[in-house]
Amino acid sequence: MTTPAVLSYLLRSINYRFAREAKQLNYRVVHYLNQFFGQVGGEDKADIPFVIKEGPIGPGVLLSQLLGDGIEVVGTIICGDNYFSNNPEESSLEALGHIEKFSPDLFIAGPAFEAGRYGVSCGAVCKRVSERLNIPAITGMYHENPGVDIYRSDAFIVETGNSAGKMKDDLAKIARLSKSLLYKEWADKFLTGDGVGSPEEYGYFSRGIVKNEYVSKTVATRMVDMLLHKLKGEEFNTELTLPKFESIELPAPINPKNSTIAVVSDGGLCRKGNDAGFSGRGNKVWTYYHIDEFFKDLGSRSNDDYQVVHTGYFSVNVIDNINRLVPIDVMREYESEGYIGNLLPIFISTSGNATVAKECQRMGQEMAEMLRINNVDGVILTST
Amino acid sequence: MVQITPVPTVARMVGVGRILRGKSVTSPCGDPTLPVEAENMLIHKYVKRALELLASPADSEIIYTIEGRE
Repeated sequence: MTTPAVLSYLLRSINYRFAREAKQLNYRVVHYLNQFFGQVGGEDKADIPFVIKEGPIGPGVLLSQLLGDGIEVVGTIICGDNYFSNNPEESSLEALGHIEKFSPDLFIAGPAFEAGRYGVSCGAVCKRVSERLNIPAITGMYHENPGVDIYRSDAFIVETGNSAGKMKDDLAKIARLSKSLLYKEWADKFLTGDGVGSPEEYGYFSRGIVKNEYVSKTVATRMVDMLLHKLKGEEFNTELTLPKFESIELPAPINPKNSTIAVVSDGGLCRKGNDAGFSGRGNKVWTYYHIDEFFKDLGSRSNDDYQVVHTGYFSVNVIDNINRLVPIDVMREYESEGYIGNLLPIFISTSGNATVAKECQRMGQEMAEMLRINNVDGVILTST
Repeated sequence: MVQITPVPTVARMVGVGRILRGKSVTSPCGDPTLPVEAENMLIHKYVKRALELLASPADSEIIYTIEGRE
């Protein structure tokens, strides 16, 4: 934060405090929701641009009650998940423009639970808001949501369940953190780092902020204690959590003209009737098809041959033209023209929507083994 | 491996070495709002760019587009 920004922040805090005490004004909160929670529609409305409403909408009503007296949800910004994710940079700036008109003291997004696009958009808007408006920005996500790792340092991300099943409990956590951040002087806390409740206490993902603090035991003592607990098979609390994803050795370039290239997709494409047995969400299986059978020539191909089993996106566009997900006709053309040495006559398919990371890794390894056996040199993977 | 995805932040988080931003969530390699011929040309561009990326060194920090990079 730059010096002018810090000063303006302090002035705002002081002004508001006096104004509030004098006029007993409420703290103002703006809430961000996607098209579903904003009660516009489902996947079919995921392309809607921003809709601005006064007051709370949907879960915002319960949130409002939980925030209690003295805090008011003055406005709700609703946006379609696809509209936002098509251009997150611009969309988050656009969101900021709408949000600042409400002169909020606090911003809350979601919660997004396990929804990937929603989580990423909540995180992106929180980041913009906290950087540009210098107010606390809070959202909520399940620990597997990709938005957690991307935005944990930029927003307060409260840990939620994986669905709206426990919405009330999750909103209560958000409300509790909100009150803690509003009612103690935000400026003091920002400058000194004191008084911001810890992640453990308030149930949010640690923001990677390293703070010096005094403890009674030296690091040597703590380390040996930890090791002794571990050796005895007892519980111990690590002071540092390792990152989730191991780094992969990046493969060297290939020459497609003399390579075998395969096409893989996690868009959930399968034969009509779901012969693959995909689950629309949390899927743990993958399959493969011989492309001559599965992707007949354009003349004999029909939309009725296919199905998409994936609850994370609206599949009409893909069923209308398979090449939008699996560009098979173009790949065949390139093979016959010599841009690709060989197109593997097998298409590998799975449905990737809120699948646990471990299962993704297992499936990936199994697919890689099949590709290796078939001497594949390069893969084009398409995802939605 | 090159991944064509409309949500490249996830691919970057995992550490994918060749990331190509897709057109949209419901149509990663095409665009249903375009007329047939124009869309076909767009799908060609995606495949061509994907093959170019397979032939280039990997970099898990860069998100590529069909025109260049972000």
